[in-house]
Amino acid sequence: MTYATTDKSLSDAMYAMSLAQRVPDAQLLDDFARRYPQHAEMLTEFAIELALDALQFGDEEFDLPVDDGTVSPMVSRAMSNFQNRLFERRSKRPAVPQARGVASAANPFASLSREEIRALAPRIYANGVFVSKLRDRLIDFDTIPPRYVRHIAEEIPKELDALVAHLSAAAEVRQLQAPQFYKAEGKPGGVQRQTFEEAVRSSGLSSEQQSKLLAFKD
Amino acid sequence: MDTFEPVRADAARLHAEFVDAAAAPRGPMQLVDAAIKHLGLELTWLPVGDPALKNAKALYDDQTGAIFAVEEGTASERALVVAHEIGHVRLHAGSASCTTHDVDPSRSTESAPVGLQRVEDYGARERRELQANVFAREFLLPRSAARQMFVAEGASASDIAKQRDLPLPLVRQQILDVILLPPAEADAPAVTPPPAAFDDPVQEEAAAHRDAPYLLEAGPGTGKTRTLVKRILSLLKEGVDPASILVLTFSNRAAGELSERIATVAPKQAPKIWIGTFHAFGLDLVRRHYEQFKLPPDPGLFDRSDAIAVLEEILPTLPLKHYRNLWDPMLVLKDVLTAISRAKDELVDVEGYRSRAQAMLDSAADEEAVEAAEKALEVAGIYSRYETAKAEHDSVDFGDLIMGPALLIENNAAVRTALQLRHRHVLVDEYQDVNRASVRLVKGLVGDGKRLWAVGDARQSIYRFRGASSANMAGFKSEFPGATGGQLGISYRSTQQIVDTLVGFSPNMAASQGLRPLKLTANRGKGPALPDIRTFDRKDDEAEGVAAGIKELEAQGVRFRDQAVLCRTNKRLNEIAAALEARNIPVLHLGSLFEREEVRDLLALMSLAVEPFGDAIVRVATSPRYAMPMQDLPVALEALRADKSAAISRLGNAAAATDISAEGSAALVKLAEDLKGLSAKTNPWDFLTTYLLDRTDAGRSMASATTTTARLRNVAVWQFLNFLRDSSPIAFGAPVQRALDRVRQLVLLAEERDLRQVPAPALHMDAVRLMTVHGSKGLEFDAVHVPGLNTTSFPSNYRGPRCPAPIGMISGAEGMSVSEESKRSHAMEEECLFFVAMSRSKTYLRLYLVRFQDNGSKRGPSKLLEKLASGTVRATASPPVLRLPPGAPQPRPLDVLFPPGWAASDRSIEQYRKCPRRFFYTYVLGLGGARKSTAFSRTHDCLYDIIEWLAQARLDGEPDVAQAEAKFADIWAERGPTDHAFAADYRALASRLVGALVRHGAGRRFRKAEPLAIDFPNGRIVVEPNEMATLADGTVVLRRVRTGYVREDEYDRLEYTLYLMAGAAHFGRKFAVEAVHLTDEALEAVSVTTTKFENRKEKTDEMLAGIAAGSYPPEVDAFRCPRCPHFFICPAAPTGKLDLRK
Repeated sequence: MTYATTDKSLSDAMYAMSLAQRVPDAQLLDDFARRYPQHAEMLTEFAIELALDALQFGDEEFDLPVDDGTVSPMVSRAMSNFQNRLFERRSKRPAVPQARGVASAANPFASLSREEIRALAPRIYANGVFVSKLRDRLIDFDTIPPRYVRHIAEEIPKELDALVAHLSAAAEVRQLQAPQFYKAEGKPGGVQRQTFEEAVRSSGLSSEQQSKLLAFKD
Repeated sequence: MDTFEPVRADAARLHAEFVDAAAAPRGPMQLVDAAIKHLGLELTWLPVGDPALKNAKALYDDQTGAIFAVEEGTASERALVVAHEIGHVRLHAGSASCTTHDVDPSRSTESAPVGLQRVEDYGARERRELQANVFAREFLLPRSAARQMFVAEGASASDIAKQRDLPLPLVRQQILDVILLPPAEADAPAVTPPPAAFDDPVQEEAAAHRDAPYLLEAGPGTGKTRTLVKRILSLLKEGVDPASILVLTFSNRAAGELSERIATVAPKQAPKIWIGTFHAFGLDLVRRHYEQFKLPPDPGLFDRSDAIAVLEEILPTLPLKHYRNLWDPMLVLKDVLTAISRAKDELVDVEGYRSRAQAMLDSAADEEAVEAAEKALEVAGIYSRYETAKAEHDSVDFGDLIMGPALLIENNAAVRTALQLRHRHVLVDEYQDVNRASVRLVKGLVGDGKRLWAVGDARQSIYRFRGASSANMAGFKSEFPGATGGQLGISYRSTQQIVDTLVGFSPNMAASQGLRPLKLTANRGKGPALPDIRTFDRKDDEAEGVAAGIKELEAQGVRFRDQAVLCRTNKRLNEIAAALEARNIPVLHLGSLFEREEVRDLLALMSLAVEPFGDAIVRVATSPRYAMPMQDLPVALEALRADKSAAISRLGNAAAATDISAEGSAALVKLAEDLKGLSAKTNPWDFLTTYLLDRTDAGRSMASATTTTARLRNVAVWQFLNFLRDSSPIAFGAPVQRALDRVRQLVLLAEERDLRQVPAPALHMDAVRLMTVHGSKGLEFDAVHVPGLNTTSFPSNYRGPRCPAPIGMISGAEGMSVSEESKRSHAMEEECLFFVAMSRSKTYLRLYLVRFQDNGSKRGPSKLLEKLASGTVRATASPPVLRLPPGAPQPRPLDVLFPPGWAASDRSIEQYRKCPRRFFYTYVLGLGGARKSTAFSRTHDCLYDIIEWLAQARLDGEPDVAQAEAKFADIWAERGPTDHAFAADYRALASRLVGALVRHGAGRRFRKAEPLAIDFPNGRIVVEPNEMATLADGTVVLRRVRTGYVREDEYDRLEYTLYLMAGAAHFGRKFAVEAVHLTDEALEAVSVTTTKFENRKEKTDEMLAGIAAGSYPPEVDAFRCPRCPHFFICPAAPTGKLDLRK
């Protein structure tokens, strides 16, 4: 699959797109969606933010010198809007978990096959739900015992830094449902992160798994 | 084939794996656990709101192979959710995430195509969820098990639900599927092998086209859908994001078919591609941008019956002159709503409509132009009130779904920008069906149009009524600058002979203008025969000729199911269906669902729950389960009428009536038992499924159907029950009442057309397909029979629009008068319909026509036949007919004995003339029928009270307007609609009529109106004049007083002749007949010509003979029937004698 060759994270892709053209158009977006298929939806949302920003603020910032080290106000506004919108959308609708085989270097879990996940889970005292919570960064990093993080890094195995970078990043926005019919859901509510302890207790783990995991806190 | 069959088969197989094992687990949770284990999945229950669920009720995480589900509800309820997810695991690629709304394993495989369901439920995602639901149902209770338990073991649905620990609705739906749907196809379907694999260079080229707007002209059978799918595949292959692809179609059928095909070739990407109808996409946009439309996130959707429900009450308060019809507001509103919808097709809002109408008035040069302008202004007024009412109900209508988004995109740069980036590849199917609004929507979506790809066939443009025009195909290049296109040239459907006929006809079609000439070669080469024209004497012979034609081809190996009869109208379709069935040719034709006997049986049961008089007992009595003798009806009806509560609660009392027979009494006791606990408040679907599957053996006997006709009856019941599952956004009253009102409303408005479509699970039956030409679009058959190729029938008679559009509203009609444009597009559409009809045929095409009308006058052949190129068709001399087999059932007279001295009245004989069956119900059985009480009907009742009062008061003096007004005020206070929001308007209207009534009495000395008998050879008629008066010269005046207006054919009505006959019989030459029409304030002397008088006299005597002989055939009429109080019971009549002498 071509996906495996993609090794840029979403933010790199967004940044690259914001530099490629001041206001993205369908052609540009098609190109980026092709290059970063795992981020296609996020890139679409971001491109829309960029284009809306350009609509709102027009050409006033066009002549600002672009310093390589800084992000233009337009891009940073768009980034921030993008995050807000995504948060809104996420709170409204259920998300579909990332499909197998769609890899991202930034997410050490994403490239694992089902067999690999199944093999890993018992070694880190987890089940599918718990792994998915780690994968989707649904556990507040600050509450995860560092010993456990190191343990996972050894078992996956991945560089500890990469794992820490993943777990401590903002909750990753996974692929949202294909934009089919929009139905307002009865109970909108934000997707909250859990503490480590909450995650241990609410993921359907056996009591043995739970005590093993909680022991990492000591 | 039914696409749910493989889904069900897989679920049943999986179920069987566990049940066949020694320790058969049967509880739903055990089954689910076993499946989880068997499939190597992990199942975890999570608390409500756990972040891993991401707001879903349950999800399947493909990477970890785990199902996460909310831990709530009973074990059985939770098992359903997991079974649904297992469905996704088995059927679909990738992960799935499901909301509470998604998981409902009791859902039917088809929802009734009315209201909102016409727009929703056809997207790829909805299909997936439905498949998972059907999988879950079948997995937990396979059809074989449901059949065994329900049919063989005689368990009720409730028993099964209890035994299997499953929800009752799921069990009921599964049993319905088992007993009502024909068994799935056992043999392989296709008789003709699919065309061999081929490479069509034009198809490839079209699919590979990039970087400019593209329009593909695709003649019939050239692989339009195949090319569209190829294009989508080629985009996906290029790495195009599937979520950026938008495919717009015009019909749900096309959307569904495309979704399925794409899901087969690109299962992973398919759910991300937006495939759906223009209306579904519009609804999606309205929901996405609801704030912009000042609507709630999930607005209601108005269909015409909802629109009429809100407008009916407002109408009398509008200052209307031309469109005022208080008697039957629906009649006017129906036409006005068509005009409003047409305006929306042209993106013309209220102000746009009004300003155009005003401009017409300002420039009107003659009376006719003034009237046209005033009419358009009245429509603008109703349009405005309608929009307000709709907004108050937080709803949109079908027209808004296109107009709203089209205008939003045009006027809102942010929305436009976002949509253009989101939907980067737009594909439009059936481009010939676009109207102004949809073109503008597409234009707004595609920006520079470089990624727009459309396909269509201008010669198949048959949706004129919604503003579609084939001119849009020709105009593609000017609409989208830089556009290019191609033309498919190989027909993979039809033989060379049929292709030649189409090609020969096409240059004579107005729709061909501005397009490339049609060029087609047949991939299949030469076929066995030229298209065949068969001429008969009369309509009945034609039907017999169609029957013979079908049999002939069947003998040659063309199965019934591969043959279709296509008619221009539903009426002719019904006639042909009846003729074929009478000749034992199986037909696949539901006709009007609510007028089918088996559906009316159910409607009658429901009526018992709402109406106090219990009239529906007349139909219920005919069911073999009750078999109540006719003689018991008057007794039972009298007992039921004694009280005003719904009949359902008093069936027991009726059973105890003194004069009732033992049989009749037992029948009523049984019926009371069957309906115990059910009421108007019961959900209609529960009401009937309780009756069919729990209380009676009705469901079980349906399960034994073997003939096509019996199976089709079951399919109709299945379709009807699906209809009852969904409700309308505008609802008043108890659920059963609402359902019954909605049925009538849908029939009145002809909005039930989509319910005539035979549902997919029944399509494999070996029966001849019968459909209208409109309904045949997109289908193909080995043999096609097209009857009715006569002048005034195909092409159909041109009838101008009842509410013509204001000048300048219809785009493309510039420089033409409204009626010229309308005429031209009518003619064009009829040609297209003929083209569509002929091009459905793969191998055999038969065209039928007649030489004479039923009354013997000559009938010309269709002008369309003249447009066929010579040599492309042949004519069969003396074509065969299939006469009715001896002993075929004939209509049976009813056995009625009238009491001595019984006579018909002027009113009842008029009823007999309109519909003898209605006469029987009203005047022989004495059924009242519950009329729906409206503000107007109550006003009307007050008026008849005052007419009666005045007739009496005038005997003693000459009451003036003030006295009459004073009396009327009393009547009004007692009976009038004083609580109604527009009571004052009704009151003012009534006052005007009262004034007219009094004024028209001036100068006459009134006397007591007496019944005047007229004797005919076959019986007596008693005329009851509304009023009688004497003039100064002694002339006796018989007056007929109506509240309405004088109709065009008013004095041709039988009652007037009867007044004249009565006058002549009783007063010799010294009499006159007068007609008073209060709305017109008209008083006119009535006379008829001698010929008409004599004709009516003869006709009246014939009718009296019919009454005496028990001949009461129903006169089916699309206008009158749904307005008839006996709509739900007609034409049922119990067996046995009805002796009214007792």
